[in-house]
Amino acid sequence: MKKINDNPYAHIHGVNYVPSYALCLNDIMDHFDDEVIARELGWAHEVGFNSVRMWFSDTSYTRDSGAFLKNMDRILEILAAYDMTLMPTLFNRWVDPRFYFGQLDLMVAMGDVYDTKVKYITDVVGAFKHDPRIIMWDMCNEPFSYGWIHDCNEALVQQLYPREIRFWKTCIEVFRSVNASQPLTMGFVDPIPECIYEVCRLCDVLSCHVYRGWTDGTLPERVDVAIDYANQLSKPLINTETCQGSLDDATRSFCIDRTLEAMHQAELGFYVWQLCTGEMVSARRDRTDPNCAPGDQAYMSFLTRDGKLRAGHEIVKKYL
Amino acid sequence: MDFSQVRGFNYQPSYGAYGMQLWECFDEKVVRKELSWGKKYFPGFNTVRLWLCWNYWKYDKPGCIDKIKRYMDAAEANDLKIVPVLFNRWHDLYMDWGGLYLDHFIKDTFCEDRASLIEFTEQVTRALVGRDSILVWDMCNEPFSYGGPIEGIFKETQQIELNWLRETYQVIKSIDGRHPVSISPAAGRGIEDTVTLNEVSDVHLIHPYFWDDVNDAEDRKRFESMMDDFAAYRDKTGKPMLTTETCIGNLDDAARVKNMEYTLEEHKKRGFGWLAHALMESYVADLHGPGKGIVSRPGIMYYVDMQGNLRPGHEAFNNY
Repeated sequence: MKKINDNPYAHIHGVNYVPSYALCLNDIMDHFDDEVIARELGWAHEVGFNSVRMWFSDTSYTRDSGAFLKNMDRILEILAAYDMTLMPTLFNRWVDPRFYFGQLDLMVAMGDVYDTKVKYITDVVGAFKHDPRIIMWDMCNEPFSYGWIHDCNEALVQQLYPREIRFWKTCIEVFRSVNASQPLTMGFVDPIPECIYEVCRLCDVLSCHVYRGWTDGTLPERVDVAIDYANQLSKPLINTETCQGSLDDATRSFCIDRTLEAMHQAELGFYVWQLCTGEMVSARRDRTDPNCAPGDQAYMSFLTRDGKLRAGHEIVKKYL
Repeated sequence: MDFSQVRGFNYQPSYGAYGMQLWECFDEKVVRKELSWGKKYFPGFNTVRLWLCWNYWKYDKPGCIDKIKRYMDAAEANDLKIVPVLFNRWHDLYMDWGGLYLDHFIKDTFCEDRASLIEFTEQVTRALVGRDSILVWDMCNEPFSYGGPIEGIFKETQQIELNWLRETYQVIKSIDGRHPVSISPAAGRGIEDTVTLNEVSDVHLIHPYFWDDVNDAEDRKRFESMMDDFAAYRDKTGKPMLTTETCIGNLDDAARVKNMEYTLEEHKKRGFGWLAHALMESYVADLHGPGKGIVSRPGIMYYVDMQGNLRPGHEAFNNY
């Protein structure tokens, strides 16, 4: 397997976390529940994860900026007590095809960056810009998410990219204006399309979301492609989402083993998807999404409602 | 009911900021109370436009249908006719309500659960078909929200969106032969979208907001010209026309009243019925002042505050 030339994040063995009470993105902060979050992050610590990736919403910030910043600080306080770091994700462009989770409309991401978005980035990053509890900022989860639609009208998609690129370049400029100490990344879908390389170049750390390939053995090759690209750009690499889902615990366990073995071999830091059984899509057996092997359904939680590891999921400890 | 006699409001309950939250936290008692405040202050209030939420239905289909029925019950208990809005395509840049996104239409089958849009339509129509209170089915609030002219990539997107609306129209008609079916385009492109949607409109539903200065003769002339275009198109097609949103907001109560008086006078001149936006103070975009979320260009658009007080001067609505 290939190696990352500049690899300061190999030690990250993290987990994506959406509190169990959240049905959609805005619920995380709008219905903030200190007790639930403290309990669930405690479970993450018990399993052995050392960092957490959480998504946030500018809508929640706009609604009550004071509460938002206070609650974000509280999350950091809880994590610090467990010696864990946070990767805050500021926007989401992933659109689940089955269940609404909440995201920037493509129309918005193709337009100008409005003053409230500027204020959101400036205020939130500014409030924690030298905070060592934050390992890095993730500007957006899966921007350009139309790119993975296999049979999408190519000409149409090629017209969308430049507009969205313009939006994110502006957001990154705003981020830079804050002079945060922490690095910046963006969680790109795998494989990263060449036409967005100019956005990748503006990030400090390259993020990939390598999920697929564990069934046919091609996952290491996918990791190699991402490593090649990171090395070409002279940037560190981290996998901020990984481990496809399954309704079958044994199948999921096999997936985790195969996937994290490839990360281990590549010495690639990672955040598995996702910690808790809860209300959101992929967090319940009856709310699955299609991120799984053909014929299966993606139930992706590591923990059951009572905080115990799902059957077979103790395999994750081998890689923590 | 004669559409020219429609006098009413859009209604967003006070307790939420976006569709998912309004439906997750549905509170029938509050809805009944708030609608009764509307009747108290506006005795001629005879119709209410209620926004449903496909996003929430996806998570809890039976629960959502039950809540929809109770929502209708609450309106009927206040002796109101109802315009149910099945889908939303308006996305406020600051405080997104949710609904269907541009992403859903950039490829004909982007949403693998596209059939669920039809399933939602079927379930809602079947659940409400027997109700005499339905005035007109409003398939979607402000389709074709592309943030500008329909050109380039949006030409194909519009056809995809239109195909979905054609199917939705047929589904409703096949279940409910009694009530008219229509759709509410924004008026940003003047009459253009109304013409495009004529084939799926038994009644023309329009959103003529007067955004400009009521003291400026040129601004008034432009608005009156647009209203004349709408009236002429109504006469040409022989279909009724109903305004399902109007009366732009203002931070200043008196200025808002002045705009409302002018706007409603122009409606009356042309024999249009109307549903003003919106009855209640709410956390939803444009329905609150500072302190409850951002206030953007449309200003403050509510008539009754969260404590049940009539907004100063807004009793002028009764003059029309």
